[in-house]
Amino acid sequence: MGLIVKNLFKKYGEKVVVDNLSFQMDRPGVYALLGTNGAGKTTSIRMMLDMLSKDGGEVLWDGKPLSVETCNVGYLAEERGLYPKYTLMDQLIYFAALKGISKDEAKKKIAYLAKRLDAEEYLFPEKFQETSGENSLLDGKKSPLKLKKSVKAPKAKLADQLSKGNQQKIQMMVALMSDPELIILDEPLSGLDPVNTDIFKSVIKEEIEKGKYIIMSSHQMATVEEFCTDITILDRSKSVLQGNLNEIKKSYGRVNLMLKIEGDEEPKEEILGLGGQILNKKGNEYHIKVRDENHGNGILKTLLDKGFTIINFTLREPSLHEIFIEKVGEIHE
Amino acid sequence: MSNILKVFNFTFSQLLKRKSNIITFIIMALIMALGLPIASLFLDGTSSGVIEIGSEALTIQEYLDKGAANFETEYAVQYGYSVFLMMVTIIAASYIIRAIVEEKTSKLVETLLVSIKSKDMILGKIFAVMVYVLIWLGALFTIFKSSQFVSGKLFDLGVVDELIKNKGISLDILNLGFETVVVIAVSFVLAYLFFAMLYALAGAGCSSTEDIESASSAGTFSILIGYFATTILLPIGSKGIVYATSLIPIISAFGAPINFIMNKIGWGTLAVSWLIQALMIFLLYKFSVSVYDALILYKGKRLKLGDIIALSERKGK
Repeated sequence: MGLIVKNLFKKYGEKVVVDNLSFQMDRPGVYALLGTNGAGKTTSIRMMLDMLSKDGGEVLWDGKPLSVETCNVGYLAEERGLYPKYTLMDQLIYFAALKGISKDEAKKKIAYLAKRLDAEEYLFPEKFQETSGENSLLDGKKSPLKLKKSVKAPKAKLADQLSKGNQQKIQMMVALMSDPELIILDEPLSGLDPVNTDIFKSVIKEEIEKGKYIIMSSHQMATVEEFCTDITILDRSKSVLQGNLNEIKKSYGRVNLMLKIEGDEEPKEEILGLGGQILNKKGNEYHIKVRDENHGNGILKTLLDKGFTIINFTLREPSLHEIFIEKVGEIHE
Repeated sequence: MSNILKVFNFTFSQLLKRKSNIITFIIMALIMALGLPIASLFLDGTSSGVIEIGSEALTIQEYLDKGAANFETEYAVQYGYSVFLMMVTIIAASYIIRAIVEEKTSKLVETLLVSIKSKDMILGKIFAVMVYVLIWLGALFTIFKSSQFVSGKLFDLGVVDELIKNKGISLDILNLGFETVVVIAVSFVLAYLFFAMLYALAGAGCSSTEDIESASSAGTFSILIGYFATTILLPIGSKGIVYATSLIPIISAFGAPINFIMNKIGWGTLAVSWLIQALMIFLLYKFSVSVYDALILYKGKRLKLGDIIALSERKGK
């Protein structure tokens, strides 16, 4: 089983929007499709899912053209949308039915995913309803006019009554309900608060552990870095960097030096004199770009010799964010 | 279960649950239930009792006893069927076009298309609306007949029959047997599907609810062409007009079944009319699907017909 995307090409008039994109997933994991705004990420995804006509290329799943018949795909679209005036439960059962899931089975899956995504309040409002008993007008005293609060069954929630983040949870449920083989998440964490971001991340991790093939498109590099094994970076329709993330990082080497110095003395001159590039300074913490590990160790030795007290010294590979900025920035220069 | 049936189930259940539909049905049901008894209390069934044809003056009964389908009856039946078809298709049209557009405006299209093909979505919605409208009409008809039965026990409904007769209309000449019912049923379904596909095509070209009104005008115009053509051309009565109103698409949806009932055309002409309509339905369906696919993610001002045709001819879809 595996996904092969070969020479995807799309143009509108004379403008090429996706220029011969190719990549493949031979094993389960997360493949990150990254890029600047308008680079062609969503267009590529839509072509892969056959929602947009391709002007060239093919997409194969398990050796056959990817389609609703050959692959069970779960898709969280970039554009959030639900039927605004239908109940959430009706919609979820409908989407489940389209995937061939019976109503009873769908209800079980909905209950499970609602709990995982902390969306039970919207799907099962009766569980969260406060019931009240007798209510007397006179505090603590019995009154002939005992008023009973009527306990009304809470109305089922409609999609347009939910916030954007909560609608996103429902859409995530739609994407995962059928236990898909291939999951495509287009900006899954955009617009989410930190709590819901963590919830989504844990759900994505669960899918990874189940051995799913996941394609994730995002601008949040730090988050993508947590999950992805392989990446493609797109810029202005073209692929500018592609491959296994660890190997890409290794190819850059450990060129990021994080230094924390005790005291008020600033080692700026010394660092610059040794050819280091100070990328960022926060108080007495320095983020320095070096040529390689030896260069970094050389700077450390020189600073120690000059009497600086080093509290923290870390040599690390560049982050995905840094690689992205450098790669895309390089092209635009 | 095929995806068409799944879309049908969902669309149909949502049509049943919609509050505005329930309220409209209740109002219509009240009109059906109370219309006849109220009419019988206020209408005057008397008349002069004479109809003049040229220099000949006949009593109503003599006129009706002539035994052949007379002009008034023909006109009443054609008019009645045309009004009925026009009302049903225009009511259904608003449901169809909104059903087709709602996924686009709700930005749901992408989520749905990983599970279902666009052609299944369109067909499922069209059939759901058709069944919903037919059930609606059937329920209203049942309420009307029940009202007629109950009212007949309580009031004198003869005044309504007299009123119709005094206009020279005799529904007795109509053979409302099994054959007629089959012809009307098949013709109605074909007519509904034809106009439904027109509205589906209109909906496929829309990208927002603001476009619906202007998009549906073409479909409404077609319905009005059929309605006016049959009711205006009927008095001419020539054989050419009979065949034209039986075979020309759009007009034949209104004219063919009535021409058959009035024995102006036979089974052969009717079958040809049905075949032409079925072919038109198929072509419109294919065009609607290709337009829907081509414009499924399009957001922008409403496209002209030429642009839509060009887009739908793109290779790959």
